[in-house]
Amino acid sequence: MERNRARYEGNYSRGRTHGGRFRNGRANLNQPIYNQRQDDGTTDKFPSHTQQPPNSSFPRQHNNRRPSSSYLNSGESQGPSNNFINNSNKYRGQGHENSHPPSLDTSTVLTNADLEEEDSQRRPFLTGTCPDMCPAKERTQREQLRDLAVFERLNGNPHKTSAKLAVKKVRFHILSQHKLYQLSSNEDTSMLHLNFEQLSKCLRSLLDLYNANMKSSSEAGCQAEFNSYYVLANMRSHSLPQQGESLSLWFQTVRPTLLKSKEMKFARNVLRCYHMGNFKGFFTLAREATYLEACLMECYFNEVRAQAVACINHSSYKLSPFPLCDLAGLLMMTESDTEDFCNLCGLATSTDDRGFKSLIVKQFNFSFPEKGSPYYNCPIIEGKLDSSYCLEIRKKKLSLQ
Amino acid sequence: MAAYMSMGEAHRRLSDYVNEFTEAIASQNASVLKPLLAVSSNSPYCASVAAALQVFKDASRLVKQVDKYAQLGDMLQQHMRCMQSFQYKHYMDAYYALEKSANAFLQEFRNWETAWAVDALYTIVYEMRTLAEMADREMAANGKAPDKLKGAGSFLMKVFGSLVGKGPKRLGALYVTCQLFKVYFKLGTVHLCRSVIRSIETARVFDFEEFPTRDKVTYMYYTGRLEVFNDNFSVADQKLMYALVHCDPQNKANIRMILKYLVPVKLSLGILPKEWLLQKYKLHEYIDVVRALRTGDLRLLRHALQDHEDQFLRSGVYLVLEKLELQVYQRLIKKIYIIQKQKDPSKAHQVKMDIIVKALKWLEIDMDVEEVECIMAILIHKNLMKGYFSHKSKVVVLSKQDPFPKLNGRPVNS
Repeated sequence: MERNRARYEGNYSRGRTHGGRFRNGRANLNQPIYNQRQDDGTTDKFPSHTQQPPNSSFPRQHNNRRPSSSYLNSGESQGPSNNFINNSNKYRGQGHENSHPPSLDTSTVLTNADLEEEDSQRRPFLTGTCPDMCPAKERTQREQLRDLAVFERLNGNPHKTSAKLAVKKVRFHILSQHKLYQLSSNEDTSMLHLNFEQLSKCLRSLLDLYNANMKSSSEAGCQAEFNSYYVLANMRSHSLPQQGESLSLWFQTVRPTLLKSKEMKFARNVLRCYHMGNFKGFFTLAREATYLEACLMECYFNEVRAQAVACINHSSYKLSPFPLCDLAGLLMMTESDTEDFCNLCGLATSTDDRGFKSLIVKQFNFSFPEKGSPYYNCPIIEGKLDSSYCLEIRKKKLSLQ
Repeated sequence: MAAYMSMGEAHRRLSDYVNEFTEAIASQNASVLKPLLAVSSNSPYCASVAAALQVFKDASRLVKQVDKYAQLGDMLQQHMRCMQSFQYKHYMDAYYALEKSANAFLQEFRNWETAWAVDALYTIVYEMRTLAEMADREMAANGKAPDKLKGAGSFLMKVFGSLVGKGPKRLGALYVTCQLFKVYFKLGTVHLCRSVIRSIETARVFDFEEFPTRDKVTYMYYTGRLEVFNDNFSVADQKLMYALVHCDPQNKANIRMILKYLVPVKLSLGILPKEWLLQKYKLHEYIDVVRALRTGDLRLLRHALQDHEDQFLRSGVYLVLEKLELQVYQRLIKKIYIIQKQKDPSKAHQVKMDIIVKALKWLEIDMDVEEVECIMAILIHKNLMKGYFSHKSKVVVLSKQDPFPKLNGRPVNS
């Protein structure tokens, strides 16, 4: 089994792609996620129907093949595939400084133990769930070829999904949101939106699942966690009815015991600070948050920062510029990022003769940065990560609330 | 009711019922028809018909006479079956039968040119909603996923559709709208209210003022509540006030329901009710909230929210009340200012942040000076305080004139 499992590691191509759909452990969007960087510094966009591992030395002859079937059926490794596996192992679960994010291969996330837990009956080697199914004929074909994506089918029933898998999906999407945010440029936020949509969808269906199966106590520990993610993911839509339902409405449907859980209390505190514009409270909570909570809160960072700058600019003593280092600490940014951000808001900063930088206050030309304020790196978030992405996705709750 | 009913007696009861129905249809008399259709709501006929049907099992020949006046023979038979199932507490069966009856009735209703039967239609609509709720409870108790209320909602939309037009039937539309609101609120699918609201408010055939007052009050109550969910306090205030002003003053229960949502809205606009009002309408949960706003007691507000947390979350006003914190902070700073004025009027407008930290500590609230500064910046930015703060000296300097502007019916600047 170990060998078979290894064969899943790394990315193999799919015959088709869908926007936002999750396949083979990789979010496969209409365009390739990564611009694969070659050693000579040029980037090379691979055609979307193939997937290449980050390692550029992977031989290209597998470009148009669908190696998946041979991967899975045969017991032998096939030349390059060994390199392939080794190379992708190197990247698995690591954060890489230089070019691209690590390969988030969640096919490894589904261990054999998991599979056995689900059902003792004979079933295809690979099972999973997928909310958007390919036509039945193709599915059957791929099922026979042992070629299903991790999340496509559970026990052959396309309508069944497992909370365990859904849990991993949601965590993966939260994680991806953080990573995609880091990668995205001002011009192209489409992937961010798509991923966030997927996140919302998965989260909703997971919560529906919890509501439908209230008896299952084994998943009770996770319920609080994921209900709290729902709050964090929907803070903005509270007063924008077209963007989603009001949280006041949603709270009416949540069991009181859940609402009082540790995770929910945290999320509700964040909500309170966010609504009040309490940037100090908000970022204090961000420092205390878990990795995934912080990834979600990050979606609001620049908005809260802009509010804070607006506030301080408006309310400060006009003869006394606000030191940037203090502002940076309040807003959880580096000093140079803070300066950059203030400028983005239309505000000038000054430097005194000792090189000490400050924000000039009571300026009239404050404006909220247009869509696409840049991503400011946040090492505090990175520091919260458990040893690997896989562990973060797979983690079991150690203490039930 | 006799423990044993003879076949003859049963036949007589059913005949009487069918005759009355036929007569009502023939003479187009809604006030006679209406009670004949009641099932769950104090029906004078339900028990009698149900018992009779247990004995005289097949009424199909009896109902044929109805068809002389309208295609309602089958409808009536289903309706009687509904009564029978309801009486013996089989609510799912009752709903199934009612659904058939209701659809048949609606079909005939469409054919009648005048609006004579609107009142009877109201009964059908009410019973559909009520029996659906009961059927759903029965389903849930048997471990099945309830879906009858959802189905009732679809039927109500059909009824609504039949009332949209230039004729006199259109006056019934608001009643059906309110029944739909009740369905959607119960199901939690509140976003579905939007389409029917749009029809009422934009369709040219409707003139809001023409509708019966009772329906207007109910409509404003629900649409006001929807505005509360979205923090639109000025609009919520308008609608809920309309409902309050036009509500029957004798109907304390309804007034209480309106006030339950109006109070948090008014508080958000800086308008505080007198305590006797809260006592009179048994809205005790708001008493401490109002006190906290009056005295600037942040601890009291937080305790009040905690003590009634479940209630506030369930009614959907928790987040609204939480936001009142800013006004409580404003009041607290004002108190400090007043005390300082008594000691030394010339220096009163300068409030050291350390003093605020100390005051909060007395209220058992642990806040560092940085967060206090943050709150001060927000209060000034939102015009709850006039002045500025000094980051270096950690002091708030208040304006000499009107440093604490009142909201007076405007929501806090966002």
